[in-house]
Amino acid sequence: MPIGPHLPRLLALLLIGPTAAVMAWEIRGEVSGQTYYFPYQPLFTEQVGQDLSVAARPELFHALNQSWSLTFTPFYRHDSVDSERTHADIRQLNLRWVQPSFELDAGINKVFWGVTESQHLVDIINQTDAVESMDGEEKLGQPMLRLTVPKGDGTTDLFVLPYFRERAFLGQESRLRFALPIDEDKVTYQSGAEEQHIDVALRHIRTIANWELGLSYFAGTSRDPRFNPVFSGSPPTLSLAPYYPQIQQAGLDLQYNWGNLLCKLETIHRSGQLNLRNETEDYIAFTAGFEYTLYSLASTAADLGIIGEALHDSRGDGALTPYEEDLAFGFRLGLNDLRSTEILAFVVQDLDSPARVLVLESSVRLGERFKLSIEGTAFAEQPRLNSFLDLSNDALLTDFRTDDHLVLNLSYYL
Amino acid sequence: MLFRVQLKLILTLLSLTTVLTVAWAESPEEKGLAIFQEADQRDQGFGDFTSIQTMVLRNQQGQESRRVMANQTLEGQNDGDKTLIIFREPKDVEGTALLTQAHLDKDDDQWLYLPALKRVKRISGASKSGSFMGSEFSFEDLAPQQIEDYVYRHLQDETLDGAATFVVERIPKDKDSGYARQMAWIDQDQYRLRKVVFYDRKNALLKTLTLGDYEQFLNRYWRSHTIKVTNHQTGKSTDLLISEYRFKTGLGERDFDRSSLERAR
Repeated sequence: MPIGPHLPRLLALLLIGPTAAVMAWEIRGEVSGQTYYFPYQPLFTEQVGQDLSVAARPELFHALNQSWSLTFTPFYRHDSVDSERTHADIRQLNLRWVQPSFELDAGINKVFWGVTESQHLVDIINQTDAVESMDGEEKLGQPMLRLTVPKGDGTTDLFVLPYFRERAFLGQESRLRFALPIDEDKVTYQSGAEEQHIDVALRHIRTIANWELGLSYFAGTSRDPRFNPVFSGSPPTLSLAPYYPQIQQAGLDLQYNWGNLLCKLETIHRSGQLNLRNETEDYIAFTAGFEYTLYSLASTAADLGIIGEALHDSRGDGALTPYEEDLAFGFRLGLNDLRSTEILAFVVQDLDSPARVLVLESSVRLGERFKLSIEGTAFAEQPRLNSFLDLSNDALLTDFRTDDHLVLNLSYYL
Repeated sequence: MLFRVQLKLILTLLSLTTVLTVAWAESPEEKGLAIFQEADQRDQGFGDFTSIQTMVLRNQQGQESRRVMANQTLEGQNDGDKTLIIFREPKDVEGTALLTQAHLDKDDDQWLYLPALKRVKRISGASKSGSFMGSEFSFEDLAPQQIEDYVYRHLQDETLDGAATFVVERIPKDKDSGYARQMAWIDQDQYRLRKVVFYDRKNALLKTLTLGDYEQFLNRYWRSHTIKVTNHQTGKSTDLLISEYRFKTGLGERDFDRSSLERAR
């Protein structure tokens, strides 16, 4: 059905509608201000130390009736130093149809798969928003058609993903970036359909007594790029062009609850991915560990969670991650006070080099609608590279070695 | 005629004796259990209900903070009840949802939905003694209560705020409970819980919970609008104000499954 003839009516609805419709839209979300502080001198001359930015992420929800609803979550960040970090995204623009035996989602959406804390191997649907934060927790909205079929203690999801989102990278002015610039205009794909390649995914998740079992399969464009050196600009300078291969990934995530102890495993098998040496190499990776919570610590209201996880990637030095043979250990303290004060601290220690990453996060609510958080990250004992050709996975963070930082974020919740 | 009167008298005496024998034979444990079974019996068949819960948390300095939640409960058929709690305030946790499947004979199953990450996390159903959202209510105080969760003993009868009540001690069976024992006051008129005193694992007085402003729904089901809990050890308190009770709203199993967490509002 062509949309053309309906356009005037749609426009009228948008222009006149708000008076009637504004009551029916629920709004939540946040606006925030953020600043980075870097105590050490940058490695690269273009880099600016101080960084100020503001962001907004309102979420609008409208229930058309009992079974149809629409969610729209735009996102925008304006950054004072890096035009690449000033970015907009549609996190969600999703029409949902809920029926007794199934649910259908159409539009742009976000999903999360998995159980572990230190990294999310199984989670593959959404591209990482790498300019938003370096921890990989922020994701770009993914266009999708999703069919959800719940049955008893299990749920099956079928995804058709018609459009690929490229990873975005920080510009030359930013800290926490690689030595060579990344030329996003020179992106290449294995598939001739490029970003139009239709990816598919299937997931089944089931509760069996104290077990949570998740099985997943993905076929399509890898969310993780490999980089090809290219010359661009005038005068020509060396830069890196992202290349996205076609992959298949099978995933398993498992959690066993034994009282206050949660035992967790995520493992994947991926084929078609290029490793650091630019060879196609099938590999297996896993994250395995535990989370143990002490409730009412020392007869106070505080809860203390202790997290330990082992990270493995069978590609070793050729892995696209610095965490090929690492241990993550940390704790999460929730004071359960009026301000919901929380502290999270963890370290990821490489096992075949002294390299480690330390993270300390703390947040507190101010009044009823503000939340202040401070996050500190340190890169310790990162190896230096003599030549770009020596690049091994353990040196992937070498360009961040003077980028220890504090991030202060103040959010106002709508 | 005379014979028939005598027979009737004998039969009456006989049945009276039986009743008395049963009454005398009932141990304090049996009576305590019977009181809670009666209370449970009177609340059966509600099907489902929803409500809005506002918690006012108060610390030792008298500072206050508010939590607002939408609550949905589905009565269990051969298992415990299911509840879905959706947070509305404070705004930074709006949309966070907690799904609980209570079980009669084992730990409850619990799933927490974190809307910013779109993540459903199975959490420890054994987290009974943990504070609920920083309030003086623990998870076990708010979880659906099952008869099988405790061992009961009737202590005495008392008048509480002008109402005749049974005082029953109940001891949690679960070793993960935050309590060594509880004392419960139940009114004899309607079998409504009026007050609970909690003792911590060291058997020291911990909290007092009172339930007031009862309203009857569908001519049968009594629900409290005001629940107050005071922690005697810390001086902190929480008022739980419950409004907008709706019964038989048509909720079903699909409103309490994993995917329901993602659409909870």
